Amino acid sequence: MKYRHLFIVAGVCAISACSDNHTPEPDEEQAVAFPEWYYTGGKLGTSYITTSAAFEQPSKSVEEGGFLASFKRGEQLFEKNYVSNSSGVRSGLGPMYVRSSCMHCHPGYGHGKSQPDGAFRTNEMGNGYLLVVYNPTTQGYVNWLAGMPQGHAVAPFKAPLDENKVILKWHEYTDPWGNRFDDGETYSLRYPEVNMSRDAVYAYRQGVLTDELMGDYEVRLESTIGIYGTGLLDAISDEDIKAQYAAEEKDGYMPNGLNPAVFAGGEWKGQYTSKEVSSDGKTYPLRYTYALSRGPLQDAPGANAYWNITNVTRSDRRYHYKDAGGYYAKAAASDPEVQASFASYIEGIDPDHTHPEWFTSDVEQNILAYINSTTLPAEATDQNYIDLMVWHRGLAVPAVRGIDNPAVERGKELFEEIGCAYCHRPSWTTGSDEIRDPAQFFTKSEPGRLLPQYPYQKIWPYTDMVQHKLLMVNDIRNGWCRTTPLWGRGLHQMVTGSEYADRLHDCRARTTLEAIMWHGTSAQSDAYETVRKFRALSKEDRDAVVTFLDAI
Amino acid sequence: MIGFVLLALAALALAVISCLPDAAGLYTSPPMLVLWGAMAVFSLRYIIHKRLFKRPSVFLVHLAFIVILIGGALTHFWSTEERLHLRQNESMNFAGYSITLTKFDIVYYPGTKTPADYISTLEIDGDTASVSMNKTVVKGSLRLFQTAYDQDGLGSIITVSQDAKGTTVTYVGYALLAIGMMLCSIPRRIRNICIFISLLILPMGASAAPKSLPKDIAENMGHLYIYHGGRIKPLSTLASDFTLKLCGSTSYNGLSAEQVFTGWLFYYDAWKTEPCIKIKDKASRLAMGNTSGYVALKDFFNSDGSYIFKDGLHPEANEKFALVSTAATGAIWSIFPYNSVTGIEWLSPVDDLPEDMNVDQWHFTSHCLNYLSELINTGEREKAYSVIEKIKAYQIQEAGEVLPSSLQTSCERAFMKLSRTIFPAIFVLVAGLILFFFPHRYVCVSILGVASVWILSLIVLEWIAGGRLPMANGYETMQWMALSGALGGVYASRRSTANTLGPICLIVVALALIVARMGQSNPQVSLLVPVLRSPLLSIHVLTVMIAYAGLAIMALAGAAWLLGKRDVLAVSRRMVRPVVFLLATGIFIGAVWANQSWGRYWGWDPKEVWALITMIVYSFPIHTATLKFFKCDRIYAIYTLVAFLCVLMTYFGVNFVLGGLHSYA
Repeated sequence: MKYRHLFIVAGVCAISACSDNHTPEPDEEQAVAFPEWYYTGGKLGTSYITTSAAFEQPSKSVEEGGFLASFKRGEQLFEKNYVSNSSGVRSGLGPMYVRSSCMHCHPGYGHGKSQPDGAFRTNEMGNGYLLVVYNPTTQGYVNWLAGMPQGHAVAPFKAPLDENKVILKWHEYTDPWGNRFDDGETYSLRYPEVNMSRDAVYAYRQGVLTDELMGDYEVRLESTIGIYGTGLLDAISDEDIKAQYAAEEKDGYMPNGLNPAVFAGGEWKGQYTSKEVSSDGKTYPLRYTYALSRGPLQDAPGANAYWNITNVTRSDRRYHYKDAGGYYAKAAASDPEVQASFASYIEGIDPDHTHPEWFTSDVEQNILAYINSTTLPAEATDQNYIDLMVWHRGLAVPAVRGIDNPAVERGKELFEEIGCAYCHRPSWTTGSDEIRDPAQFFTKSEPGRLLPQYPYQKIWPYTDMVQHKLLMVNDIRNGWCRTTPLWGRGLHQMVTGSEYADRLHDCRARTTLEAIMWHGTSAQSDAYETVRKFRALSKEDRDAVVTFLDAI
Repeated sequence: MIGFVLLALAALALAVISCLPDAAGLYTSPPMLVLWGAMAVFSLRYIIHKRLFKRPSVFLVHLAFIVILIGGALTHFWSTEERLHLRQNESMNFAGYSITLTKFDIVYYPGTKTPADYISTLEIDGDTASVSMNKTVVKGSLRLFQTAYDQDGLGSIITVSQDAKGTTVTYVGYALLAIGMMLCSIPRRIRNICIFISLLILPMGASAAPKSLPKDIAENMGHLYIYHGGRIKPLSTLASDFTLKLCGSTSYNGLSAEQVFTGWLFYYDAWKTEPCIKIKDKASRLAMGNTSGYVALKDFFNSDGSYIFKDGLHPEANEKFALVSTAATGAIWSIFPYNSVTGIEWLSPVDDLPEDMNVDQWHFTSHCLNYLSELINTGEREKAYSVIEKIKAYQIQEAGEVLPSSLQTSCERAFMKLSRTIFPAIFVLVAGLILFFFPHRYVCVSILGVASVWILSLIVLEWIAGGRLPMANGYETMQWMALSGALGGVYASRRSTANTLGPICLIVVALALIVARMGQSNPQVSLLVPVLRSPLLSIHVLTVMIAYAGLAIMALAGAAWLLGKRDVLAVSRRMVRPVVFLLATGIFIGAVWANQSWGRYWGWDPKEVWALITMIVYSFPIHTATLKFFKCDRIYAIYTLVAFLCVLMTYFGVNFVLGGLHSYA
C-alpha cells in the first residue's frame, strides 16, 4: 500500500510536471561596441527609441546646448493647428492657405502618406502631397496658382483651388520584366495620375483667367519627407557638397550625368540666393527639395513653409503667399460676395486702421491692396520663428534597428556591392557647421539666436545630395530628383500609422521592394544597371537588402 | 402530480422564451400568468392533500413560494414605475411630491478616470436625499433609484417606483423561505464540480529567443506602475496579461512576461518577425498563409504591404494586432503621472502632453524612454537602473497618494506570479483521476487540504491587492467554487464512507481551477463597476457558487454511478435538498440586491430566468414521495447529470449567448 501511494504521488507529479517554461541562461552583458553606422546621426544627432515618436526626439545638441525650452515651444508651433483669429496663440491663418497645421503634411514628423483614389483631400492628417502644376513644354510651374496650391481660405475669401475637382487615380503598372523575378517571385507596381479640371481654379471660374492665359498644364504629386536629420545635412560643408558633384562629373558613371542647370565643367551653374528683402546676397550650394530649390536650412523649405503653408506672416515675410501672376487677387477683388463682406473682415484684422489703403471707398482696390500688401503686420513673433528653427535643426535621427541581425549586415554588403551606394552615398562627415543664414535672421548682431549645431559628426543619411533621373512613368516634374535620404524610412508605418511604406517622391511604392523595382523600369534610368544586378541576386539576398533598407 | 407537470411546463416555457428575441414582454404575457396562477393553485391543493402543515418547516418553505408568487402578481398588476429625467436645479412633480436635482456627481477611484459611484443629490419636498447606485431613497410610498445620467453631467435619470404592496409581500415570502430552510437544516456539504476540459498548452519549440531586455532589468521595470484599463497597476501585471493574451502563456521561449512586453517597445524590429502571436481562429491563420497556431506580426500583411484583416470579420486577429500596436508604438506606456488642475493624468511618451507642463516634466515624460533605450543598447546597466529608479521616484512624487501601497503591490505581484500557472490544476486533476480508480483517503484528504491552502492564499493575495473581496468576474467566482470544493471535500471525506467522494471533489476543484484559468484573458484585480460595489455581492455570489459546486458534485456522482462506482449516489441524494436551498437563497439575495440597485427585484434577466429554471429542475428530485421514479438510482443518476446543463446555461450560456445585465460576470 505504501509503495502504491508513493507511486501515485510520483506519477501525478511526473505527468503534471510537463511545462513550457525553460530556465533561461543567465543573461550576458549586452555588447557595447557598435559599428559606426549604428549611430546614423553621429554621436550628437542620434536617438534610440522606436515608438511612434521615433522622429520627434531632440538631439544631444539640443539637450546639452540649453535649447530644451525653445525646442518645446517650437514643437508646439509645429504640432498644433493655426487659427484665423487675428491675435492669440497660433493666430493669423489665411486668408488663403495650404494646410492649417504642419502636422497635416508631416504625420509623426515623417514622410507623407499615400492617398486613395478620389478627390484630393487635405483636411485629414497625413496627406503630405503638394500638387505640382506645371507647363509640360517649359517644365516650369504655372503662374496662376501658388507653387504650393492653396485649397483653403478664410471667409469671406474663397479657396484659390477647389480640391474636390482635383482627382487622384492609381494605375497598375507592369515593368519590362513582367513584374517578376527569374525565380518566380512576383510583385505589383502602381503609380498615381492626377487630373485637375480648369474650373477647379477660382480665378478661372471668376473669369479672370482664360484658357489662353492658363495654357497647357499637367499635375504631379510630390510628398513631404521627414524633418528629422535636416540639421545634420545642413552641417555638411559647402566644399564637401561641391567635391561630391565634381567627383560624379569626373567619373561619368551615371548615364544621365549631372543636371546642367546645377553643375557643369567643375563649377556651380545654379546656386541659392535668398530673394527676400533681408537677403545677404551670397550664393550657397543647393541642398534641399527634390528639385533642389533651396540652400541652407535657415532659409529652406521648413523656414519658408512656416510662413507659406499657413500664410502666417512674420517680420521677414510681411506679404501673403500667392500666385505669381496675381490672378487670385484680381479674382477675389472682383467677386461680389467677397466685396460684400470685406469691410467687416478687414475691421477685425486692422481695427485701428493702420493701413488706410484697405479702408478706401473702392472696395475692389481695398481687397487688392490687402492681398498684395508688402507691409502686413507680423503675425508670428521673432521668438516663434527662432523656436521653430531650434526645433527644426534639433531633431535626431533614429539609430539602426536590429543591427545584430545578420540579414542587415548582409544587406549592407550587397547594397554597396551592386552599386546602390553610388547615389545613396552611405556617410558624410560634417564640417564645422557654422550657421549659414541667407535671410540674415539668425546671424545679425542680436544675441540669443543660437541654433543647435553638429560639428564633425560622422552621419549616415544614404544620399549623395545630387539629382539623378529614374525616368519612371508619370515621372517627377522635369525628371531630375535629388537622392532622397534613406535614413529612418523603415519606421514610416510605425510613426505615421500608414498601411504602406509610401516610398518614392509620390508615395507610389507600397513596399520597399516596389521602390527598388521602380528604379529600373526604364533602361535609361541612372539605376538601371544596379537593378539588373539586384534581380540577379538570390531571394535570400534580395530579402537581405530589403531588411537592411528597413533597418536604417 | 399536476402541480409538478405545470411546474415543469413553466420551466420549459421560461427556457424557450429566454432564447427568443422579444423575450422581455413574453415572460409576463397572459399565457404565462395563467400558467403561474394555475401552478400556484395546484401546489396549494398538493400542500393541503399531503397535509404538509403537519411538517411546519416544509410547509413554510412551500407556503413561502406561494407568497412570493402572490407578491409577484401584486407587483405586476399594481406597481408603477417611471423614469424621471431631472436637469440640475429643475424640479418636477411626481405623485404629489416635488423633486429637484441639486447636483449630480461621479465619484472616481482615486487617481483614475474609472467611475466608482454615481450620486444624485435630490431635494424632495424640502428634504435632502442622496440616491446612488447601491443606495435607494424611500419617501413615503415612493422608492427612488439611480438609473442613468446625462453626458454633460448636469442631469440625472431617476427611476421612481411605487410598489409598496408587491415588494413587501415578496420580501415576506423571502423571509418565510429563509426561516423554513433554516428549520429544515441539514449539514451542508460543499463541493465543486466543473465539467469543462480545456486544451493544455503545448510546449513551445526551443528556437532562439528574440532580442529582449536582460531579465533583471525587465523585472525591475515590472516594479513601475502603469495606468491601463482604468486602473493603476504594477507593470508586471500588465506584462503578464499582455503576454498571456498574445502568446497564450505568461512566458515565451524562456523569456518572462516583462521581457516580452518590453521587447516590443525596445526591440520592435526583432519581435515583428517572431512567430509569437497565438491565433486560434483557423480562417485567420489561413488568410495569413500560416498553418501553425503562432504567427508573426509581419504575417498580418499581404506582399503588397496592405493589412489583411481590413474587413472587420476577424475580431481575434484585429484585437491582437491592435494590442501589439499599442505596445510597440508606446501608446500603452502610460507610466508618467502628471498633476494637472483636473486631477492626475497618466501620460505615455507619445501622448499629446498638456501645453502648461513645465520644460523639465515635459522633457522627462517625452524623452526618458529614449534615454533608457540608449543606455540599454550601449550596455550601461548601472545608468539604466538609475533611470528606472528615477521613473519610480517621479511616480511617487506626482501620484504618491493614489498609488497602491507597497503591501498591495507585493501581493499583486505575488498573485500574478502564482496564479498564472496551470500546474496546480493539472496536478489536482491527475491526482483526482488516479484516486478515482485507486482510492486512498489519506492521500486524497491531504491533497484537498493543500489545495485549500493554496487557493485561499491566492484569494487573500488578490483581496489585499485589489482592496476588496475578489468575487466579481469569471476567474474570481471560479476560485471560490474551487475553494468550497476543496474545503467541503476535506470535511465530507472525513464524515462519509464513500471512497469516491474525495476524488470527485478533487476533480471538481481541478476543473474549477482550469475554468478559472480560462477566464484569465480578462485583466484581473479589476476595479468594480459601481453596481457591484455592494456587500450583497459577496453573499450572493458565494451562495450561488457553492450551490453550483454542489450541483456539479451531484452530476459527477451520477456519472460515477453510471461508471460503476455506486457508493457516492447516497451522498448525492442527501445533498440535493441543502444544495437547492442554497441556490434558492442565492437567487433571492440577488433579488434583494437587484431591487436596491436597479429598482426591481425580478426583471426576467436571462441569468435570473435560467437560475430559476435550474432551481425548479433540481427541486423535482427532492419530491421522491410524489415523483416515485426518482427513487430509481439509474433515473436519479442520469437526471442529476443531464440537469447540470441548466447550470452550464446559467453560468456560461447566458453570458455568451444571451447577454443581459449580468453579462459582466
